[in-house]
Amino acid sequence: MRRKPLAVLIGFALLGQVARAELFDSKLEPFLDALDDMQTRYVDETKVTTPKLTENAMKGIVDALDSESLLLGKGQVLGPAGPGISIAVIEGAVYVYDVAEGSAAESAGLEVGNRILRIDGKGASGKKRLEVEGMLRGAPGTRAMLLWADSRANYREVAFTRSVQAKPAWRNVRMDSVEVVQVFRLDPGSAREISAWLAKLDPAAVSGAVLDLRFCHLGDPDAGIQLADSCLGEKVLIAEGKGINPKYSRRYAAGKKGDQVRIPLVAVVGKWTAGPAEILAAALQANHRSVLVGEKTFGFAARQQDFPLADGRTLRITVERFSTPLSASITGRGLEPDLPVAMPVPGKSAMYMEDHHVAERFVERVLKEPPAEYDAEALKLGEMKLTAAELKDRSVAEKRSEFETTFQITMEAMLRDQGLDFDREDLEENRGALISRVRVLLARRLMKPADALLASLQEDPAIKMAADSIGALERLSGREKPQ
Amino acid sequence: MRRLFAAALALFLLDGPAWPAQMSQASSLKPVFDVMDIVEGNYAGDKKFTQDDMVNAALTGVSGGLDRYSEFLDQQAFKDMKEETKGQFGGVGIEIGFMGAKLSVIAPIEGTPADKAGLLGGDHIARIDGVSTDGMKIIDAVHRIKGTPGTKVVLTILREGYSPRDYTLQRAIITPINVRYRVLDNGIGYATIRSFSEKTAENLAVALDEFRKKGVTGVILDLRSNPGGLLAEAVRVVDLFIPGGKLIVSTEGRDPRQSARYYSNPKLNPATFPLVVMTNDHSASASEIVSGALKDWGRAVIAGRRTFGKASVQSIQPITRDDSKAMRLTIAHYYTPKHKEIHEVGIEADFNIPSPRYPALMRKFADVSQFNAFAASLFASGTQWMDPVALKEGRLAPVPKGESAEEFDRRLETEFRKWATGVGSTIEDEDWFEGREMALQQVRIAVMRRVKGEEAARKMAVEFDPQVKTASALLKLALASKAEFR
Repeated sequence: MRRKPLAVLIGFALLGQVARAELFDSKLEPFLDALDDMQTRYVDETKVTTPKLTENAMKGIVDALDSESLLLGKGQVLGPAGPGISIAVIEGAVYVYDVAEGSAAESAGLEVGNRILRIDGKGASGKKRLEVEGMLRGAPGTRAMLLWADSRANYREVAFTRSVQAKPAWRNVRMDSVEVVQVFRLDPGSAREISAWLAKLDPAAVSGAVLDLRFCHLGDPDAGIQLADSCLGEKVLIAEGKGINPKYSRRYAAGKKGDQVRIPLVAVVGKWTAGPAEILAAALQANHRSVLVGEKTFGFAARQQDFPLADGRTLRITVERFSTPLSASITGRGLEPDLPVAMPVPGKSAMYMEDHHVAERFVERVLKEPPAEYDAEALKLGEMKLTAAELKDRSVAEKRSEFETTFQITMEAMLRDQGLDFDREDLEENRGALISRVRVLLARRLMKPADALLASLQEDPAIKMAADSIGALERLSGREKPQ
Repeated sequence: MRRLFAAALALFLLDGPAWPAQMSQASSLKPVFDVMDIVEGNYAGDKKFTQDDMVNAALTGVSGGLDRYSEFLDQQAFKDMKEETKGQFGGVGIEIGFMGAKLSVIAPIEGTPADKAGLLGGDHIARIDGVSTDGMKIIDAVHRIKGTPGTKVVLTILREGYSPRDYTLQRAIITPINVRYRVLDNGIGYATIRSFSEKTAENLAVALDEFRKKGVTGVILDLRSNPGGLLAEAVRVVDLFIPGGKLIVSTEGRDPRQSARYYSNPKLNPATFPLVVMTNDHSASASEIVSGALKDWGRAVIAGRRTFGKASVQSIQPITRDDSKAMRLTIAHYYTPKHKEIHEVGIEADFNIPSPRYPALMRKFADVSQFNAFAASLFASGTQWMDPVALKEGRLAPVPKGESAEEFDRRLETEFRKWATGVGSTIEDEDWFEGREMALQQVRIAVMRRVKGEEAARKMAVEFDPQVKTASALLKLALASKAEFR
């Protein structure tokens, strides 16, 4: 009975002699003693074989590291298709931060902020981000079962057919004199494209660009550094790296080719903004190249390195953590916005309206029987505005309040007809959000995708504030608004 | 490390030619050391990942691959565990938990500083040494309150009907009471064991002596929700009830040193009372040894619910020289005298008593602090319809020659529902109908607690307990029909 554990000890002793003096550190003694004890006394010997103990010890160490540090199997690759959600891991909990338009996930009602609990009956919590990705992804046409909880802790389980999502890494929309650049993935390729595209913009033709980084999560930190480089002057500090290994403790400064982007920039950030997007946002903010609009960011910007193991697997661990040019750690803290725009937290009445699909019903209703006050031609094109006659001889503020009053009357009439029980106060409280929602729904139904996207961005409070701040910048600097 | 070398050399001497096989063993541990090396030299965490962290993490991983009862205990966990099994620690003598969202006293332990100072179940603890308990985790609060005997801790207590008050308590050695006993109004001895720690059997023996003196007709041993504890104590408890030379439990481990058979000691006078053992689905481990042995020897009727089904023995082995960390390891399974498998099966009750259903009302008023608050309001609002003499004894009764008991209860019920509405917890008729009896019992217990303290309240709660009532009835029935209980 004593042979097995002693073999472990011998293993240790041999290793020590032939390989590593530091293994004799007394700190490791408890570990080896414990293994010895387990192999002697544990009730089921099949569970304490040396290979099993080895595997579980490795797993234990990796589990104690951050969510981006993990063991990768030999030749492990992610499947090309998925249900159409992007995920982020916060303290072991898996959240949806983006839902692909037109995906199976969208039609099943998955929303940003929902928490994924199980995939094909297996728990997702406590797993590393890439492990969860591995469970989500697979071959196109295969099916996966997802159990999730929404913000109200309602649970739902739906089977999805995996499909390949052709979501671009970034896209741009012109909004009046401002370019809105939505970035979804920052990798060296997309960073190169975006910086080249931004560099081509002529300050005489464009007021500035809004960089929407709210749905840009993790990725290659070099991509963030590269994009920041093209927006900042030579030798300007972009970020600081910090690591245990001295080669990762270093400073990143803009190169000679820097400063190619000449137009004003405003970045929009949110709670999912992480990794290269955070490095970029921090560099722009610290160097006064941009203000940050939106919400506090996610707080994880780090580089991983792959270390091949003797058994053919790969140990991927975080080797470098990034700080802002002002030496504030990004990881664990996030970046505070200069202009906070909180995402609205829906109240009880708003939830009730959402549950009863009030906005959707309203759209159906006005399209079926357009009320006389609304411009019928505009409505057919997906835009909701009052007729010219209604608005004649009114100031801008009056026009707005006239629209709101009309909306309220139409809405109340519809709710009454459909037997839905609402207080006028509830309706007034949620009117702004309802109008936005109705506008976005109408646009999606009737406009071309590009126009619908523009319409939805125009209803987005953070984008509006970012565009407004570019306008303010323009007025402050006395520049002419480009036509 | 020298010891390890010596061990290794010894094996060399005995087993010289076995080299190649051991070489492969050596290489199979190498990946762990490789990972440790890479992580130590490269991992950029929020703080340095030390070798100590590494060992903790590796052992957590290793124990995670075993069974749910085997685990690695870091410094704090090991310290807590030692206190738990030793059955004593430095503290003030309260159990704490959350009532609503507030940290509260669940119950003080008799004779401790907290009990002497007059703390009651349901008191909210607003601050510990001036630190607000808002958002504090239980485990943090426990560690703040516990400490070296002789030192002091200040608890700021909020109690319904009183202004906030600071209680300065001197910590003492607290021995949680694991055995409580009393003679019920029906003349049956009732003893409950909360968990099996050192001295549990000794304390139960005291209870049995007391029962003998008082001449009880039968005994109820309550093991409901008893999670287990020390194997040796379970054996000693069984030993109190059966004659010598009988097998109590056998353990079987892979390591022959862990296989053992435990027998009862020869003795003059084992307790011969007719015995009912109460169990439920949370009675585990040591509780199952006791109920299993008493059942196999036909010494007791098991009443209640089938037990949990945890039939494994763990040993706790310190793994550092300073005894600061340990490994809890499953080293054996155990079997009842009839060699019945308990693991994941449990001990079947001879007499099934369903668990009481908690009415919706009792979920709404889930903790005693609310009933305490109502009791406080009863005292504050004038008590002319209550018998003042009874009230002094902590009982609620109509004034002599006043209302009937039913009328009195209806009045009490009206008061309670009025009060509930006043604090924003209106009770629907349907819920009230279902939960009325239990709610009025809780009111009575709260009044008793306020007047006579925790111990009296506890006794009252036992008298009200429907499962204890059923067990008593069973015992009485058996006595009446002279059924063979031994």
